[in-house]
Amino acid sequence: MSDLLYVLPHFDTRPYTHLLPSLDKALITTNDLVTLEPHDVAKRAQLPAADVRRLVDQIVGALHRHLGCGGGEQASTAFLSAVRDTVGGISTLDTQLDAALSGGFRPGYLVEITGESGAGKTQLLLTLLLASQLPPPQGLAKSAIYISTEAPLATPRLAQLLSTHPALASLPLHERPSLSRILSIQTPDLESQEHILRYQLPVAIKKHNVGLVVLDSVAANYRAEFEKQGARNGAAASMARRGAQLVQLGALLRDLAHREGLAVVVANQVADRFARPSNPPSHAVSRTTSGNSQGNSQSAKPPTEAEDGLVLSPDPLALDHQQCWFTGWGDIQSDPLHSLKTPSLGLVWSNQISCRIALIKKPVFAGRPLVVTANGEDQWNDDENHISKWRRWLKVVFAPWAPSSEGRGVEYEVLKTGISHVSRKEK
Amino acid sequence: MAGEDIHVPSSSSASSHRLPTVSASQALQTLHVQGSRAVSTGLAPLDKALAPHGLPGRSVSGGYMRGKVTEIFGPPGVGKTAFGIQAAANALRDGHRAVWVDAACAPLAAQRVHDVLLAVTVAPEAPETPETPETIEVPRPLDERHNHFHHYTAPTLAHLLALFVHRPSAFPPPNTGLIVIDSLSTLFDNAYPRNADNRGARNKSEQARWAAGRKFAVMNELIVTLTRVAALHDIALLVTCQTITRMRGGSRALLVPAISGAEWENGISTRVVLFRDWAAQKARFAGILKTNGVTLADEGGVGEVVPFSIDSVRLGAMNIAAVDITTPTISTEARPLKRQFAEMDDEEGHEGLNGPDSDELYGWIEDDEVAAEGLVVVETSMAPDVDTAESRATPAAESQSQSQSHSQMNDSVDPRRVTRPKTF
Repeated sequence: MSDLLYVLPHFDTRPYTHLLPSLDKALITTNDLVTLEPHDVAKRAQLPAADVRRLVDQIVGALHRHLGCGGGEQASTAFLSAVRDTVGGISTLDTQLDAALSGGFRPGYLVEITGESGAGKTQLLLTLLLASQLPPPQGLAKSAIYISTEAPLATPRLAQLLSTHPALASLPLHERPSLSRILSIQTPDLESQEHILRYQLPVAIKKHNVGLVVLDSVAANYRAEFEKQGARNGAAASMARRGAQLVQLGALLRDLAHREGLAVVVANQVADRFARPSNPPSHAVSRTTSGNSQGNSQSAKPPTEAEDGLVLSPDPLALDHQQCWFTGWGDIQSDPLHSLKTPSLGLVWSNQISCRIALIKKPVFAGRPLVVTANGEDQWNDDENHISKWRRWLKVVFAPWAPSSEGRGVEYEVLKTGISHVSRKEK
Repeated sequence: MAGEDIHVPSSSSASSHRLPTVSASQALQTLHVQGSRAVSTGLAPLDKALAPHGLPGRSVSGGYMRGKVTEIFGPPGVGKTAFGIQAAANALRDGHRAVWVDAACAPLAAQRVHDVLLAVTVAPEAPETPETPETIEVPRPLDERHNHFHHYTAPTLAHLLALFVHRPSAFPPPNTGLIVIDSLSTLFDNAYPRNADNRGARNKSEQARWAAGRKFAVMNELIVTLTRVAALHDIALLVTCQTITRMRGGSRALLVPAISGAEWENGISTRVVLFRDWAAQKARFAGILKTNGVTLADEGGVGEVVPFSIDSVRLGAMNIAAVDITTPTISTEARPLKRQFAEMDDEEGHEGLNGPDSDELYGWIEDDEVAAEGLVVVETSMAPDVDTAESRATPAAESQSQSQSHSQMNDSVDPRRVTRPKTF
């Protein structure tokens, strides 16, 4: 029953205080109340059946009202009529990047920005912190909160952006975003992170009229906590525990985003990917994972080439294969294996987020053609050489409100004046 | 199953907790107006593949069958929600109401639905679907369709249970053709965390053991209720699910639907997996794992495959609609290969691995059960099943100038399918 507060925060439990402890003791949850017969519940918790029935009626009624069923049809059918006034988001302050995101970061969603260190995650986040204060359509005219697990908020950079970014510097002084409307807090470990997110954040959001919450980065504390314990004593158990915590964290952040109508943007780190996910159908050679018992039947039958050349991979539902498309790395076959990354926290976390944006960076080597264009596709010329600079791309991997990017996405560069796209002419 | 007739706050009418009895002649009648029995998926090949097997010589429109529960699952970003939106737009176009239940994951973007609705107006598609008399005229005005779209947000599992187990009087709204529950698995994951601690075989109190088993009890209750709602109100119920991984043989992590269990799979009449592959840059694939109660592929297989792509319309809007089909020939090409893989996997004797999950357990059972209740009108008779199992395999074999071994494998598959009904 302890979950009732979470399910229905405003439910008046006072008339039922004599029931709740017994229900709690019998480990009966709200779900059980809704699905079981009241007299079964009563028997199990040793309570008077009539009282339980009354409680169930009240809870079901409250759930219905919460769903919007009580007040006639208008509540449920008004959804699409509100289309026109809901559009708008937090701009990246760059036209091309905004276009890739269909207007920017939408409030109400949990968004992940993932990429290597130095890809520009924090730069993008800082821009968002400022942009959220702008009036629509570029922002939400609301404050922002920056929760940091690694480096503290880079205020000098913020100030620099404020004074040099073309979209910001041109504004008259009183319309310009201000650093005083960016709240910042550091969470050194998982426990304090949990506490801050669950208890302090909702209060701060209400108090300061917040439209954007940034968590930079989500994986850092999990990495530290769970890798410390080491592989020997129950790595699997600790992974499972981490999974459960990630589900909770995801639910918490999504709920905040939805309930308060704000954008929650988290940064996530990446790790190298080891296994080659799968073979392109054209080379029917051995797969790394086909040596096991399951693999026998598959390796006996090399992928057959149909006339059209369209053949599915031998093991289409393998995680290693499918993750090429939802991680942001691997869906361009020509990319060399060693350049592939995987966002931290795995599929469990990928299931939690509503939108993933990958920031991809690739080195540019001095003195040779860097990106070879073949078949209209950029191919990376990967020879050991001196790295002279980096090229960066923003790629929408999946988003509920925007189509995913084609190819690598939009190329951008990080300048003193902020993030801006690179025009395509050099290709 | 219970709970509902005892004390529903806003009790449903006396007759509604019974399935309607259909006489044989009525059933035959309904068979003749089969056109309205399905909500189109928006993909003609997929519709065709999902079509029930009607009388011989009579083409039946396919799609998400009304009166049945369909599950779509796939990895993040593969297009599960797009399928739901497309289905909703098609239901609205046909003049039905559509109900959308947002589970906690990502709230539905209204703009996106709006754009899809617009696209469906602009290009009224699918001339081949036999239309019911009332939908022959022009597409309905947008406003009307807006008003026929019902949207609910279920932040917790309890909300969803309250909505379906204790249905409010106005739910489902009259003339509802489709209910979409988006990302149902999220609610279960939130309510019942997958925790390794629970599995430890340490001594628990009776209560703790009972509570640990409640996840499946609630899941069963929900699927039973969903099938009942679908059958009672003749609604196509579409559920989308996320995936989890399951380790199979060594280091092979396989994506499997996040909600599983014998009861659950029994209740689901059609199951489609969405996935992506190298084949073409923009192509995605829908694999039919189970259609109308017949399981086509085991875990890890993809069954019959239909390629599709999710189009984005310019204008900066997010029309993820207009699910286009790439050349239909591709589907026939891709099909035999996958069928073999799935079947071979099975025939190699891995059934032990599959355990109770293998399709012996379900598949036929459901059909039987429903048939016994006199509810199902068409697809229960075994003969058409046999029929199509063959017809499904043969065109592929013919259309392909492939090696002998392939067609042989197809042949070796067929007897198995054919004999199964007898053994049951």
